[in-house]
Parts: sequence; C-alpha cells; structure tokens
Amino acid sequence: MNISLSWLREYIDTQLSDTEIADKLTLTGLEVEEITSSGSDFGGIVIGEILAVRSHPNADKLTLCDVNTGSETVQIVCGAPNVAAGQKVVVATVGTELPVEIEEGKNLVIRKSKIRGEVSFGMICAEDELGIGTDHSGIMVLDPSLKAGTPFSEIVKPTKDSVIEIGLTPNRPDAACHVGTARDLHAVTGETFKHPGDNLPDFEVTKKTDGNPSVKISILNDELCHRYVGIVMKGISVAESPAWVQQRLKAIGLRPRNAIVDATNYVLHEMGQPLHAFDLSALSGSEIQVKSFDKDITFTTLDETERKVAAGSLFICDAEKPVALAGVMGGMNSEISDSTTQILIESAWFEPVSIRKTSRNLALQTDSSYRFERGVDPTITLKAALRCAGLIQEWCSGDIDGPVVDINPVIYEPKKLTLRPERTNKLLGTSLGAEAMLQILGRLGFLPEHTKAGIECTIPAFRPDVTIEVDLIEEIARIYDYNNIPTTGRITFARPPVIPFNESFLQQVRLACVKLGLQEIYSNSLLPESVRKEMSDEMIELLIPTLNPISRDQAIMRPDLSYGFLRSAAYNFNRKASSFRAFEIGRVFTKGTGRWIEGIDEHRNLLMAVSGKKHKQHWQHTETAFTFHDLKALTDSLFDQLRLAEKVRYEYEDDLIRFQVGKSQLGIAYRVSKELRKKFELDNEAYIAELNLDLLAKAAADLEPVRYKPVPKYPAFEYDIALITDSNVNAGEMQEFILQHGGKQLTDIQVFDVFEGKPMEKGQKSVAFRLLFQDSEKTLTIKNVEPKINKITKGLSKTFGAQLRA
Amino acid sequence: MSQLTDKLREEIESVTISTPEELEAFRLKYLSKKGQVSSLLSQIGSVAAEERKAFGQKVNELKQQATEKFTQASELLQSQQKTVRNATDDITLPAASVPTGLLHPLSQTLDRIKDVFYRLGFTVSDGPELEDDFHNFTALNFPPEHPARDMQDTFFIRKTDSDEVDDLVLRTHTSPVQIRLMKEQKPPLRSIMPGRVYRNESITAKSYCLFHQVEGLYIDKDVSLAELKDTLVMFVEMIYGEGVKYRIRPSFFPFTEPSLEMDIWWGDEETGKWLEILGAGMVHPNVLRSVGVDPEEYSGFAFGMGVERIAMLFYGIDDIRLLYDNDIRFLKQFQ
Repeated sequence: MNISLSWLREYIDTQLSDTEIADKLTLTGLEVEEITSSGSDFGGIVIGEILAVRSHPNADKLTLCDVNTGSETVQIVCGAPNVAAGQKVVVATVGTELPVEIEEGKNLVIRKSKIRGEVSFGMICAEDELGIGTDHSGIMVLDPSLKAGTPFSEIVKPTKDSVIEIGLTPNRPDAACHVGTARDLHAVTGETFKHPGDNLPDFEVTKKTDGNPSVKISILNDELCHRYVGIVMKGISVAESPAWVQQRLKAIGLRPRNAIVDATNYVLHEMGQPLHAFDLSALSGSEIQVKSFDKDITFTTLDETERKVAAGSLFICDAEKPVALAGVMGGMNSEISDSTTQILIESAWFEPVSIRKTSRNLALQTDSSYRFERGVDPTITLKAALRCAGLIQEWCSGDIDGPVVDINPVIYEPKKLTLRPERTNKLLGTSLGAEAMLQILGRLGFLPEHTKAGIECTIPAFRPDVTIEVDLIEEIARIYDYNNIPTTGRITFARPPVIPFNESFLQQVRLACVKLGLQEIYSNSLLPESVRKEMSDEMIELLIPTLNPISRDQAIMRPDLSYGFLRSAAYNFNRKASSFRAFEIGRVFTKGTGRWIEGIDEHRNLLMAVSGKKHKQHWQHTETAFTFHDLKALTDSLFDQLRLAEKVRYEYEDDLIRFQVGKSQLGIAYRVSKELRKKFELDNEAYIAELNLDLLAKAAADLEPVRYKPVPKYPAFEYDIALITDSNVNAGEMQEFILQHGGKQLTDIQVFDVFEGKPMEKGQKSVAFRLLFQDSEKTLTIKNVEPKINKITKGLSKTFGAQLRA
Repeated sequence: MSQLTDKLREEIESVTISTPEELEAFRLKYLSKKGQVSSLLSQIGSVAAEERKAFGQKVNELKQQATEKFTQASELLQSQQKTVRNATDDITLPAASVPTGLLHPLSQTLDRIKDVFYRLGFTVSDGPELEDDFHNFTALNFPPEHPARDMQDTFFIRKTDSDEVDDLVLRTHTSPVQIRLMKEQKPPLRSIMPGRVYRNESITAKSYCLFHQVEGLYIDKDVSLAELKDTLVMFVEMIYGEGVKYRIRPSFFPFTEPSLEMDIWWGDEETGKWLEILGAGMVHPNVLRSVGVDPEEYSGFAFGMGVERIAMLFYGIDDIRLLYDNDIRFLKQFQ
C-alpha cells in the first residue's frame, strides 16, 4: 500500500523528516518497504521576462529569446509557437533538475547547450515539463504583474513528495489509508492529529427506504450488508479534478479519470471507506436494492470484463438488473461518463467473508475488496459519503439533492475491554506505569479509563482486530517500541529433556553416509506430472497429487527419493562430472497408513546411490565404473556403522536386493533399468539403495549400548578353501553355509578370489574363501580346525556340488 | 716418537676426500689393520715405559681423528651420490583424490542453528509435512476465510471427494508442530521444530516451491516478551557475530500476540540495509486454549526462521535454486 507523505502531513502536523516518518512507522508495525521521491521542489526555476524574440538563423520552428531572469539577461532557444516578447514565463535555469524522466530513474537536467548552432542558457517551460499538468501545446504564460526573478515555488506549491510503500499486515485495515497511518504516527509522537471527517457540514439524513424522492434504497440481505448510505447529487458537469488531486493520486499509483471517480478514490485513500458513484439516470426505476441471487449471474464489470459470478454473491441492483458487484467493482451499465449530470454516491458496509469469497472466486482483488474483506469502519459510512459529496461539489459544481439516505439495519455496538496493567508488564517484561499505558491507548482512540479493574477501553470501530486483552497489550508494546523492552542478559528455563533418539539416530545416519564419501543432496519433494509415465499402475494408484499447483512441475508428491537422484545425476553428467555418489534423507508420500494423517503414509527415507566412474583414468589406477557391489559395500558399511548388520537380512533377486528386518521390508537396492535411465537421459549405469529410515530407527532403538569386549590374546588361524562349482551357484549362499557350520571359533570369512575359464570347464567357476578362526583361551592349530573344515567341505559338496580345487 | 704422531696428525688433517675411491684409499692408508695408525701402535714396544701411556693416548686420538674424518667424508659422499629412482617414486606426482562425503549447506546451517538452541536448553520435535487444515491453520488461530490465509500460497491435497471434509495441505510453516507438541505434552515445553515447508509459488532466483524452517516454542509459567528478546538476541549474536546490529519491529501472525519480526543490518553502514531474518511473538491465548492450556496460568513464546535465508546470507548465495540443483561444483564448496 502506498502513502504519500505530503498527503499524510495534511492529517498530522509533524516535525519529522520523511525518513524519520518511515522509520517510526516501521517500528510501530507499519513496515515501510520502500521510499521513493517524486515531483519537484522547483529549485532553480524562476519567473522570467521575455525582452526580445528573434528568429533562429538555422531552424524555422525555433526562436531565440532574450530573457531577464532577475539577476541577468540570457539567450534561450525556444520551440513553442506561443512565445512572444513581453511575456512573463517560467524559466528553468542552468543546473535545474526537472521532474521529467528521460530514462529509468533519471530526470532531465538543464545544461548550457548549443541548439542548431545557437547557445541556450536554460529552458522556458510548458506545464508538463514542470510536472503540474499535461499541457504541452505551448509555454506557460503567467500574470504580467509578476516580477522577473521570483522563485516559481512562491507562485505554485512545490510538487516534491515522498511515497512510502507499506507492507500492510492483514490485521490492520485501519491503516489502509492516510488518516489511519497518520493516527499511528500521532500515537508515537503525540503531534496534533486531524480527521477530515470531524468538521463536515450537516445535512438532512433520512433512515427511510423512500426518504429521498430521487432514489429508493433497500437492503434485502442485511446479513451481508449492515449499512448503505446513498447521496444524490444533481447539476453536475463532469470535469477533470484539480492538478494537486491528480498529483496525489498519481503519486500513490492511481490513474486520475474524472473529478467524480477521483473524489471516490481520494476519500478511499484518505479515510479508508470504499465508495462508488453511479450515473443516476442509468438506474432503472430510480431504485437501489442490495441483494444476492441463488443462481450464477453474468455481469460486466467496469473493466469491460464479462464475469460469471457465483450464486450467493452480493449485488447492488436497480429495479431491473445488477448495477454493481457489491464491494468489489461497479458495472459498465451505470458508469460515470462525460455527459453524466446526476449521480448517486454509495458508501456501505459489507460483510468481510462474503466479499472475500466473491473476490477470490473471481480472482479479482480491488482497492475496495481489499478493504472490505479486512473490515471497514462501520461508523464512518456516512461521514465518508458526505466528504466525497463535498469534494465533488468543490471540483465540478453540482449539489446534494434531497436528504441523505442512511439505511442501517445492523447497528454497530462498540466493544469494551479491560487491560490489567500488571498483566501487561508481566507478559512484556516491562515496568510501565498506568499513566504511560493510558496515554498510548488514548492517542490510538481507545478512550481509556482507569478503574479499579484496570484500564477500561472502548474499542474504536476502525480496529476490528482488537478483540481480547492481549491485543491491547500489543498496542502498548508496539507504540512503546519493542526495542525499548529491557533484556536482562539472563536466560532461565526448566531442565530440558534429552534429545530424542530419532534425532540422534538421524545424525548418526548422516554422519555414516558422509564417512562413506557420499555427497548429501536436497531434492524437490514435488514431481512433475510426467513421472506417471515411468511408474507401474499399482504405483500410480498410490500417488498423491497436489490439487492446485501453479506449475505442472509440482503436480505429485514424491513416493520415493530416486527421481531427485536421477535428475541430479543427469544434471551433473551433462556438466562433465565423471561420477556422482550421493545420499539424501527426506520425506516420501503415498496413500496408505502412516504416523500422522489418516490415509497418508508419510515417512523418512534414506537414499544412497552411485553412478558414473568409480575411478577416473589416473596413474595410480585404471578407469573403472561403479558396479552393484560398490553400492552393496555402502549398504554393508551403513548397517555396520549403525550396528544393525546382524539384524538386517539381504534377500536377492535379479539385479535387486531386499533388505528385511524381521517381517518388514526396510528397503531395496537395485540397478536402474536402461529404460528409466533413458527417460532421464542418463548414459551411465546407476545403482540406488533406498531405505525406510523410520523402520531403520525402530530396529536401532532397542540396541544395547556399546560394551567393550576383550581383544583376543591368542593369534588367529587362517585357512583358505578354494571351491569349483557350477556358475549358477550363489557365493553368498555358500558363505552363509560356511558361517552356519563354522562354529564359534570362525570369526571372519572373506572371498579373496573369484575366477572362471581355464583350467576349469565352461559353466564352472572358482570361488576362494579365507576363513579366520580364533579362540579367546588358546592358540589354534590345524588340528583344532581340521574337523570343522572337513565337515564344511563335505557339506558344501553335498549342498552346492562344490569341489575342493586341487 | 711424539714427532711421528704429530706428523701423522697433520697428514691426516691435510688429506682431501672427494671421491669414493679417495675414501677407500684413505681407509686403507690409515684405518685398516695394516694402516699407518695401527702400525704406529705396533711400535709401542719400542717406547720407553714411562711414555707408553701418553703415547697410547696419542695414537688413540689419532685413530679417533681418522675415523671421524672417514665418517664425515663418507656421509658427505653418500648424500652427494645420485641414484636412479623409479618413475612413481617421484613424490611431486599428483596423487589420486580420495572421494569425501559432505553435508549439504542447508544441513550444515541447520546444524549450526540446532547447536545454538541446544545450548539454550531446547530439545527437538517433529511433525508431518502433509498436514490437515486444523493443525496448519485453524488451531493456529487462522479463521476460515480470513485474509491471513492469503499470506501463504498454499498447496492443497484432496483427501476425499466429499465437500464436507477439508482438503489437506502441504504445511506452509513449521508452526503446526507446535500444536502437535502441545497436544502431546504438558508444559513446561522448550523445543525447536525444524522441517520442510511449502509455498505454491513459481520458482525464481528468490523463491522456491519449498524451503526449510526452524520453529521454536517455549511454554512455562511467567514467560515474557523480554525473555523472547534475550533468546533472539543471543541467537543472532551466535550466528551473525557479537557485533551484529539488529532491530525488532511489530508484525502480525495469527498465532502470536504480540507479534514481531527481527531484522539485522546487512552490509556496511552506508550501503547496507535491514534484512528480515525471523518472525516471533508471544503464543496467542486462542492457540493455548485450542490445546487445553490455560493462558492465565501459562504463557510462552514462539519463533520461526528460514534456513535458506540464513544459509544464503551466511555464504553469499544469491539464487535459491542452487540449493536444489545439486550441482556438485556448487555443493563441494561447503567444506
């Protein structure tokens, strides 16, 4: 919201500079986001007398003028057709900055210059060049009695202004106008505050529907419209509004139209009451009805847009048809035109939720709807209408006709609240006296009275946000200034609970992944619509789509973390990366049963994945690509680091491992299919492991704390077994078999060699295991171990057809 | 005899050894069994008995002198000797890099924030990203159809086809975790609630459709705004340094009253500007009531801050999208 400070100063007589005003407002809760200057102080602009006019030797349309600027006589080149000797004109002397933008943010500065070979010391100005009008047909010619050299600022009020942009919070409809902003400033500085609605001339007011013979006004839906004031004005001749009004409207970003529309806008931004003016002759039956319809209505608004308005929306209608969308925008059919001679000024109070619904449904927010949906002062309705009528009278003649109609079926009842000073100080940590509180509340218009119970306040009608005591406490605090609230430098608190297990577990997982050399990534939780194409029908059934994404790229909640990895991997490979090893921890979403929301399975997953080259070509090693076993090494180590290696079971399928804990599946590790890689334009093989971290945490929750075990005193005994088997025999199963039958002394087993080819036959392979036996009581020898080895080899032969290699 | 020893001492002194051959010649001449020093010793019999002791001493000194000279020369020669080394023994050869893991800058920033609040006695709590209307809005004192709901562009998720049931939302802030925490546990409560939040906005350098927040909540008897201020000041000093210039100004959040925002001065005195870094306030009595806490008995404060905002200031990152592109040339910078 924009506030012109020169306009603001009309309601508060303040000594503060523009930047001081901005700072004060920010610290009271009206955050000034930007301050910009406009207009001119007319420095360097003086009255000049044209002594002589000669034609320009090199240009037909230009003339050379000798101009007396008070202190000297100079030559100025002029292009205006109406220039003549003896005129009193406005001269911008050399060095003057004119309020004319020549490029973005840069104004025209007058310099001594040569124009077609003739020197010019300044410029004789037209209205538009001074920023005080739109006329560019010729230079301004002034009263001949003016003295040359008189500063122009003594003749025309300088237009210099600062406009502040306030980021208005939705709780402060009162401050959505100049008067309300001035009131806040008054509360801080105590400087004199004037309300333009306070000294309006009296008019005869009728409360009757047909109290004015020119228009009948009735409210048919008084739930949505509590008050409707109508003023009839006749004898109007539509004109432009005065230059200073246009100046102000332009300064705050509005386009001046005509004096009537400008007056309604002016009062809206002055007092905060949205107003509307109808061409009275366009209203059928000279009647206004405020009502809603139980069917959709097609209606063309002032902006020449035909809109389909939902049933239940509030309209202003004449005897036959809707003429305005209440509180949002007027209709084309009753718009003020140049030929309008009689008008009806509308000032009303509409129910906020209804206006908001209409405005939202139509995606149409106007200055009017913005204020109504936040709550307009219901006691200002009549004053604002009268103020507007007064301005129209002043700006384009015309008179109020007949009594002013004020239909007010729901009378506003002021609320009372009591503020307890001790409660205030306790909550704020201050020690303010009741006097200070009374002063603040008084200036804000709360009519405070000190009673036994505390400070009794009458809540002003313009503050619908103040409903309970703590709202008053906030008023005290914001005017007192939060920065003045004392800090003690001490912080006390109840004994804090321990950090929850899930949190420390998460940190442990994160650390484990970093130790494994993985880069942590953060990916978008929202996936594009197109991912459906890459998913199975069962998966698509489980997806959770967003209802209203502004981009189709954010259409689906991620059901797992693989998309983010694949996208990132492709992104990096496209930028010449050779390898991508990453982990991500994040929430995933599907339909199902979860911890929090019924019907939604939201849990935390861990992704560990590799793609590309494990080693680049280098003198220390040859180039190698990642394989499935590199991924398996990562998951092995993760479970080791989390002390879960014994709990997690690997179940193997083609190119896929399922990780099981008890009966629940913890996650999977897999090779990304060629088809899927193609969708991501990913040439390198990719291997992904994805685990449900919530389940993993559950498995880790009941682990015993780490206990020291004595380090073995006696040396271990190593024994190698090389086996020849059919190529289809799984090495993992043989290892499992050995471990099961190796007894307590078998403490470690490694596969140290795998090969195929000669001297073995085709379809055979050799797998060599190194077994480590250890006993805490004695040194083991071959004699101790041999029986176990024999048993194992016999078993391997029987179960797997594995033969000892000679 | 003493002339002999003196002469030999001078001779040894004057020998120059600059090649391995000369070294060997020196050894043979003076230090071998048949060398001159040993042969001197063999003449001890011809020395008068009373001089034998002094003579022996002198010969020993000679031996020592020759040995020292030999060792020095030999070490010198060895150090000068050039050997042919293997190509890979060249330690100036660049080594292959070891792949190292690294936390994302947002995790690093979050850890820093957590460290501060752990020191201040906060624990940590958690809630869902996909929330219901009650926790994200209603319980936080956002009335239905209130303009305050427009402050945050919301992603909705349809729960059922029935119009009677409110749509779910992607939480627009971490504040709903406050409600969950207060429903689960009785005061005193002191916890931070970090997490991912969503805004239905187009993706630009300045905004993304999601970001991360850290919410804080403290509920106890007699908690005051002054304590909130102390907590926030301590936080900004720990994150931005002790000299940080800050200001606190009134603001509006439906779930706190009074509400405030904190700005820090960013940049130098002249060209810097105020940057908003967090929002906070005293927990609104309606919020306390909605979770069954008596606002006359308990009070509390809450605050919320954006992790991205803090990380971007901290590292001078000017485009929020960098944080989600996962470009390793970007991520590897945060060592």
